[in-house]
Amino acid sequence: MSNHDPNQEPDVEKLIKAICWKLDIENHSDELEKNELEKKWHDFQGSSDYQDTIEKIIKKIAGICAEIGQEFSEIKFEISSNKKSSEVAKLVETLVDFFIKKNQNCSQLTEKIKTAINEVFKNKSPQLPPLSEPNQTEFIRDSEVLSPTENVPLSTKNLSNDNINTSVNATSITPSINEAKTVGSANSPTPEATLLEHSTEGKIAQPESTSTPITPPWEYHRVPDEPKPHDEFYSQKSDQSPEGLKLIGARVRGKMHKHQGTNCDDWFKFDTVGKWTIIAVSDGAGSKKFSRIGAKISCEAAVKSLKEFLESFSLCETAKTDLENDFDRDSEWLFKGDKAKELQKSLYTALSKAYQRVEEEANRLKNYSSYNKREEKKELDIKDLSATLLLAIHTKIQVKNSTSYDFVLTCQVGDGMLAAISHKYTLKLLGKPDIGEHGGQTDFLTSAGKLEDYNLVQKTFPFIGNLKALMIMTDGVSDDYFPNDPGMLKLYGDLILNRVIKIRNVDAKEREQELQKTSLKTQNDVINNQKNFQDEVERILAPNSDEPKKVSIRSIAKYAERLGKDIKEVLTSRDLLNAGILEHQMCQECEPMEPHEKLKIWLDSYYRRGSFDDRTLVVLYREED
Amino acid sequence: MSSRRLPVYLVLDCSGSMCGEPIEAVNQGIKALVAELQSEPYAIETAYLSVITFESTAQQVFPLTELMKFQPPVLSAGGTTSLGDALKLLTQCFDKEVKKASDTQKGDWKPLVFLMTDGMPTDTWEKAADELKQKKPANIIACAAGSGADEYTLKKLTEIVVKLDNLQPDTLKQFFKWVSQSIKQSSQSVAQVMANNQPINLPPPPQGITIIP
Repeated sequence: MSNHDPNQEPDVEKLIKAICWKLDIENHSDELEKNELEKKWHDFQGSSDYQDTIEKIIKKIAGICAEIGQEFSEIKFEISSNKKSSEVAKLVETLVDFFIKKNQNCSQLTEKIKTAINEVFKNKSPQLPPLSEPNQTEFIRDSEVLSPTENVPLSTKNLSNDNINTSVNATSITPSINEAKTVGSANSPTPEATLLEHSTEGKIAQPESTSTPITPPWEYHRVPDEPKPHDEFYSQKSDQSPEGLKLIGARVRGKMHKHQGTNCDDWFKFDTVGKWTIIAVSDGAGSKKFSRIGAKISCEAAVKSLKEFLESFSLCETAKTDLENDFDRDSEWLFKGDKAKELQKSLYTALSKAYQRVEEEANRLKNYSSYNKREEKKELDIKDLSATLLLAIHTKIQVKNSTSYDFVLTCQVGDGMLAAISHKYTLKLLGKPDIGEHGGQTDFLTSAGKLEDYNLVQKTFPFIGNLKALMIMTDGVSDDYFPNDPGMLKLYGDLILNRVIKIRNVDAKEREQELQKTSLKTQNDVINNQKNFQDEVERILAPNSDEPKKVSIRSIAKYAERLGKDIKEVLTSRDLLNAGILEHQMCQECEPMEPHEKLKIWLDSYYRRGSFDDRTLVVLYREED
Repeated sequence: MSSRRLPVYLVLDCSGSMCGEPIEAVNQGIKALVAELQSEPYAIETAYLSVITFESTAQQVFPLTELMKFQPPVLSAGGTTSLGDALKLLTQCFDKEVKKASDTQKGDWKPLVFLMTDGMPTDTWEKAADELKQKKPANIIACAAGSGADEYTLKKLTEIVVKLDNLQPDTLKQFFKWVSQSIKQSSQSVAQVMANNQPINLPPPPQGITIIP
């Protein structure tokens, strides 16, 4: 195997042996030897030049493939910028497989690979620049000849989310590694890594509760050309929100739909009539192909219905205590007062109307072949437009000789959440999602019995008081802030910290004074600790762009942790909030943006492990000047 | 921060009849399965694996661990076929390791179990199997490998039963490949909101593996 180079330490030889064994090129059946090799491998994984060395090994193996010939075009190489040993192993396995099929001598190939690995280690000297290896240019040329399969158009151009990980085929290996280097090096390690003391994957001794730094190879495919597509991103602000309140909403496609190249299934709509604000949010069932149409139609129909009713309904001049009494519940959980009953009914009517419209639309669309499931020879029916629906109505009530107050009434079918934060930063959840025992189960507008009164009364909640913010969202967001109490406070805090919602400035002296009482004593300490409560991701910000931009997302939970305070303490202190914000902008492009656009960017960029769903968030909030 | 996990249990027969090539192929199969899953973004973010083996007794050789930290165990064969023990252990693992939805935590996705046996059970197992079939705490896919195993026995455990023609390395390799595709598919579809109790979708099995209707 290895040449007996007197300059090579026996240690390196052992390492080479370990690598060959790990890649299944060599077999060692001796238990003791296996343990030794395993240990050697772990040490290698943890070493500082692991990444570099593995990359070189991959390049060499790819070079060997190029030498072998054109029939190799059917084999797809997948490499992430982590260059994990598992990927190398897979490559080798694919090669070996291929050769067994071709009846060529397998051992010849493994010998070649062993030699290549040896070469990598021999050439490994700190002064050697990484790209000057002799077979570099030859490799590029050969692999161009190999021309990859056509259906991987998104190699280097559409970069995947979170961190740069591109699924590439043989042609673009070298360019993409370079690209990953230049773009990826601007990245800090994956978001979760900030919680860890060390961030290499080889160290298995990490406690279970901290997450592994992972950079899964998420792909990015544009919104497909299907009937009634939804835009990639969408955000909106209301021009007519009630005095002193701002109303914004945003909807983004989740990682899953981006990876699969399918449409966003969420929708939201808001409108105002007189002193009323009406908000509807809907999430189409993931397993139903045209549920996005159901989502859109439900929102539109519900808002229309409520608009018609509220046009001539007023709560003007109702004293706060009177209204509170009205919304007292009796033994059957029904509201006592007449006004309450009327308003409640209007919400239920809106839900029925939404259901009716969805049914009508399903009946209309089944006549168009593009909507029918040709393969299963099944006609479109209402279940194919299944979606959840969350509704909220708001008004500001001004009573003579008294201060004004806010009134909100909500209702929902399915999952997602509605929440109100009072001016005292108390959280009131205004929703009760339908959930099953295991994740992912919920009910829809179209599920049996959902629209019966006895079901709906359980899902109807009033808020009477002074509102700081009302937030309505699909489960793509509410799941990421679970448990929702106090998760929704964290959500609000994150919107402030990332400057989606503005707060009043305070001067430096006040900030310093408050900071003295925390674990981070000064403003400078906060600045030095930034990386501990800030994650950086690469995002494609404009729907038709290919160029990802750097976006930094701050987390109130992590900030509060650094300060040694709990989240509510931080939220109620303008000084601490300001200290955490300072000059922070999510991205350079964000500075001139309006709140709803910033909401959209934030929604698309914040990271949660296992969060693949579409995200929709509507916020009605009081802004401080 | 909690995230929903997809727990996957591999319950593997390591009785004497698996000695030699079959157990070697199983070891290779698990390695390949892990490697395959580690390149799939959904699986990376949600899949957690565990391996339970059974011969004269049952043991959990690897606790439920996240995919990127999972190390394929090296299994050896010898002993009888205590399927009953395995099922009891499996139920214990569910209770101990699988998170149920509550006010304070998001529940795990419904677990996936791939159980493979090459012979007839040698202990009392019917009661445990019946309970699992009734209560359905997981989606169980049972595999009768080779002529020594009886697929109808396994039907008492679950509706989803497949049969492997034989215990040849290639057949076992195909089986593990199919298992990894099933896990991939499940990890993709769990992210979608599904109506309660929808049956799971499995990819079509390759040559040498038949789904028992």
